[in-house]
Amino acid sequence: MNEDEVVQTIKQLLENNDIQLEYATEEQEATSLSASGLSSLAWLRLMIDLENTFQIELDLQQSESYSAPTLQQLVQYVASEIGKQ
Amino acid sequence: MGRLLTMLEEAAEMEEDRLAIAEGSDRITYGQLVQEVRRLAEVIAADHPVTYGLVMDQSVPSVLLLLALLESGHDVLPLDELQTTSDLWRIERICPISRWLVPDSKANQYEAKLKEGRWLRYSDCVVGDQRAAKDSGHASGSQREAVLYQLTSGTTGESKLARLTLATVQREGKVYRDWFGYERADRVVLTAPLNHLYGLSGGLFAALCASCTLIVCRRPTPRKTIRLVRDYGATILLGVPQLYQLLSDSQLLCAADCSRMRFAICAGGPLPIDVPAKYEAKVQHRILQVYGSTETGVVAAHHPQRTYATGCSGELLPHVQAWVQEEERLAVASPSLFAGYVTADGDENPVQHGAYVTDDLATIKQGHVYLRGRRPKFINVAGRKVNPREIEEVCRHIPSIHDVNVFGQPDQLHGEIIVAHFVADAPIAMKELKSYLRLHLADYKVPHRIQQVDQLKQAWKERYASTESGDGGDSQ
Repeated sequence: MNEDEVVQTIKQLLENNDIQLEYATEEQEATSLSASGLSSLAWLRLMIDLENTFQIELDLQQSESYSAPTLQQLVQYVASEIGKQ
Repeated sequence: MGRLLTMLEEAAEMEEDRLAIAEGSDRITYGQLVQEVRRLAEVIAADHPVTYGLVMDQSVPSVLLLLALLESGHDVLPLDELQTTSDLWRIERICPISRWLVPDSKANQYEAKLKEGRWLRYSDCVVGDQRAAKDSGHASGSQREAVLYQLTSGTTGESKLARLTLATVQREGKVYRDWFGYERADRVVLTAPLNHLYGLSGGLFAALCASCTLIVCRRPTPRKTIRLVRDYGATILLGVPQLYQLLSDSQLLCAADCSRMRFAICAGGPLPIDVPAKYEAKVQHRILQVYGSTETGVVAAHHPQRTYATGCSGELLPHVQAWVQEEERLAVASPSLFAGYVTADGDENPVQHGAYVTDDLATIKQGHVYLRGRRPKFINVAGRKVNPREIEEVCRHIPSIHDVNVFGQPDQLHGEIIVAHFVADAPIAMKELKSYLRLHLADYKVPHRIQQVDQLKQAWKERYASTESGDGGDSQ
């Protein structure tokens, strides 16, 4: 899976959590997902969706605090975890 | 020595090296727990018990402080660390807080406040700060019954504090221990916050009175929860419905992670109907549901040895009586009922004739509780949303009225109209009552139909009598 496919999959998962990033500007993509309306519970839901979709285990330290990353950071992190497999 | 230390010493005498509480890398045995609570209680002891606000970060020190404050006879309001300083300011308008204790890790957030004498870091108490100790003059173990406050939005949406005695919270701990059969060998993973009654009673107090081990999962995530369950060989898991929903959806959770688990407990809200089967198929242990509230304690629960119909929230616990009132609202009589609210306008106690009427709509069949939803928060009068609790509050200020129920009734013209039933010591003239209500309520909030009744009072008495006589409390 290349990075574009990862981006599109994550955007789809975010949309499933009512976070609309389909037409996000670069500026919005550089904003924390929490600032885009991702609640702490939706963040946990997203973590499960990401793990299930990409069959990866997301690092505890990344997920335990509610300082959700930006979309760019999340894409890079997921892509690197996929690369480890 | 107070009732808490007595309980802890009994546990320590049996096995002082047994792990009592673990959180992160912190571990404390029962022997150490007794020593620390006793030492802290002596530091915090006071001639005149006061009310402490304890901002809890779910760490072991926060638990030690909570236990020591209660042991010393102080009243305590434990709060989530996510509260802002503005939140705390609003709380102080409801209930004066004599001293605040905040985690050291939050010192920056409270920097300005910490310059005041009544704001302290955890470490100020742990090392025996003079401000914390300045009132000292008696030994720990006050005979005074400490009060534990719980912050609640109540039914009106306005913040208020529910008042519970320490005896009630300890009793609730024993209720969990006895109903679910907590044993000394159990390892309980708690993902619910310790500042809420569920975490305090089902987690902390139940574990301590069973002399077993409590593992606190701070800022829980599904993965962190699974890791703790696996690493500690946990036997009991406590969580809220959302946790079980996430765990049941996780493809990476497997039975091997939970090989020693006996059961999971779920409270804090209704569990989606499809979750138990999905979860149980995956991990080979059951989710036992608990129904209760801060105001009532545990009302009904699933028993580990019995099975229940789909949608059943559990069976009524021993010593709990419940029946269905007007509008299908569930009324509860229990030794664990709270002792009223503290509000910005003063004290308020909705417990009438030994019973509390919840906003939960339910049916009871053969002692099994089936929740049907919540009483609607608003009455829709021609598009205007009216809060029935606001009207009830105004009615309660009339001295002769001691019980009132306001609800909506379908109406072709208005959509809904407002109906008020009240019980009073003496007949009240409707004209005067309506004048009073018009003075204190906007015109559209004045009930369309008002009726003085004795049915509420009568129904309660009848139900209470029937459940006391042992017919199972299964009335509807």
